[in-house]
Amino acid sequence: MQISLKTIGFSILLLLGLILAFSPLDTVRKEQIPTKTLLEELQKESVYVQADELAQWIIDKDPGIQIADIRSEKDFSNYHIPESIHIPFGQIENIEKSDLFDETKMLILASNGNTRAGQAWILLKQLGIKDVYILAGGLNHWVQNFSNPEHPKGAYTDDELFTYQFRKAAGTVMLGQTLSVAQDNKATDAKPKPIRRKRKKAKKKVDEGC
Amino acid sequence: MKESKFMSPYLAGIGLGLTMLLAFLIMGRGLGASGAMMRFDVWILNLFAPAHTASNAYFANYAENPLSNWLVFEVLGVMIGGFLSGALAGRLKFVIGKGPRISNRGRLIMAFGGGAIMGIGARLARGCTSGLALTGGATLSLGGWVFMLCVFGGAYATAWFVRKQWI
Amino acid sequence: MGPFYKMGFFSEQTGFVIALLTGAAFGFWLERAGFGQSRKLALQFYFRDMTVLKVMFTAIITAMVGLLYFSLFGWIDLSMIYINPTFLWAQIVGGLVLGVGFAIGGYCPGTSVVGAVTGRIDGIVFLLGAMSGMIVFGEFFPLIEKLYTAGSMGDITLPKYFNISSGIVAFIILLAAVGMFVGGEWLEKKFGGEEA
Repeated sequence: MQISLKTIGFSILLLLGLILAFSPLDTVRKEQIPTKTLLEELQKESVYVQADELAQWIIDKDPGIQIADIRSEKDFSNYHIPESIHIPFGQIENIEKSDLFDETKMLILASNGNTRAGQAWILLKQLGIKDVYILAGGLNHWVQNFSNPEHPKGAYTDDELFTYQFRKAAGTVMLGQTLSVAQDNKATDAKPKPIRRKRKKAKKKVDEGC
Repeated sequence: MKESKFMSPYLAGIGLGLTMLLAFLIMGRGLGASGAMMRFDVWILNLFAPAHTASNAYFANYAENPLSNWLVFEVLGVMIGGFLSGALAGRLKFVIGKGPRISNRGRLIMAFGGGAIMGIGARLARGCTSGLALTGGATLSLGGWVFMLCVFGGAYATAWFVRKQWI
Repeated sequence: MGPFYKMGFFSEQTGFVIALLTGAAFGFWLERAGFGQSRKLALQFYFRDMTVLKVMFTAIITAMVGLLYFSLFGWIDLSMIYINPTFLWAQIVGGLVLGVGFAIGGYCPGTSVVGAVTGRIDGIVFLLGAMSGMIVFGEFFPLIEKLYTAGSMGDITLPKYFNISSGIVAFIILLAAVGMFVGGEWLEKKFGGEEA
């Protein structure tokens, strides 16, 4: 009885293995997200990181983010966001092989505007990289945002004023310029702007299994 | 209380495998043991010579509160589970496991020496039989399988020299 | 879809409770199989008691088949599972050293914990030995750092290395495992004779 039970067990095992051997296991895993779905997702706000939000993370030295600048070499050497790494658009599909790339971090794509970054975003999503976002408005908006922030007009709220002051102040760090921080109103104790999108905390790479 | 017989190795293996599978499904990681010991080690060292642990590149990796580590909790669990099973089967007693041809003292010296060698090997390979051979084996890790074969190779090669200890 | 923790379903603290439960199950099955007793483990190396081989391989193939089927059904994202990174030379040498320690000491780290809590004095001594060995390793780490990182190949798996599908690798492993079970039973009959 004991023997036959074992024989049944072994046979079931081999049968399960045989099914696996002929199953489309690896193709299932690599199944691509249809481009149409991704295009739809690209319209959502949740894909984009706002300039102020990103600046705050850079100032906080958040270890969980990495910024990939996908513009040309010339543009990158001209100016780039602090801490960003340079991966030209043409090489974006090889990003996983790059030494600079850390898959455990949230990846933020920065281009001149939104279009190129959007294309790169779709490409990376299809490669199976999950934690990837786009800098809203790209570098063009970024520079404008911090070099010449728009002072809130009319009856502005504390929040609006705070944003303005933050941009003024952050500009010195982000653009490397020495701009005088606006001291025209004593609203510095205003609460920081809440971050709109909850972001996963950066996880340390799990240590050895044993 | 009379000791009950051991469970069929296949059944125990299935139980172990399902435990590991659940760990993968829930936590995304397998089991382990020696990593927790390392952390415990560094924790003790830290009590006596914190400057020393901080200056050693290897120890510094593990210098954190041991109670903030997954593996440490897992090994605490192993203690609980092992004790419960032993108690249920009436196998709790202070004895020294050995073959009939070796003295108690000899066996304990061998146990300490073997443990020390294993500790070094486990750290070098980044895992032990549970963390690397079992977990790596199930995830089809190349290193896990190579390691497993080498463990059996090393053990079978040594077995003849220490046969007095066991048979 | 799993793994639940990495999908952010619960916090690290909840993870610790799960660790405790997982560990308890792990320890329970180890003890059930008789792995708290060094002699039972060591007799594996004299072909008298093949429990180690049977339990280990049954556990590996159970978890492996489970993982692959879960992935097939879309219940788990295999790319999020921790895969032990390969450092080929470090693991070859480490494996051989660990094997020597296994034959001499009669335990491996996990089983020595089980042995120690069920009252095996050699298990307790082994545990102390293992922890001392690790300190020795740390002290001499600068000398062996080169070997420690030798043969680094990243998170590589057998299917990727040999460039064959995971299903076929799994099937080969299952075949080998069943072969070893049958062979192990035969060896036990030949060399065993005693109930260990």
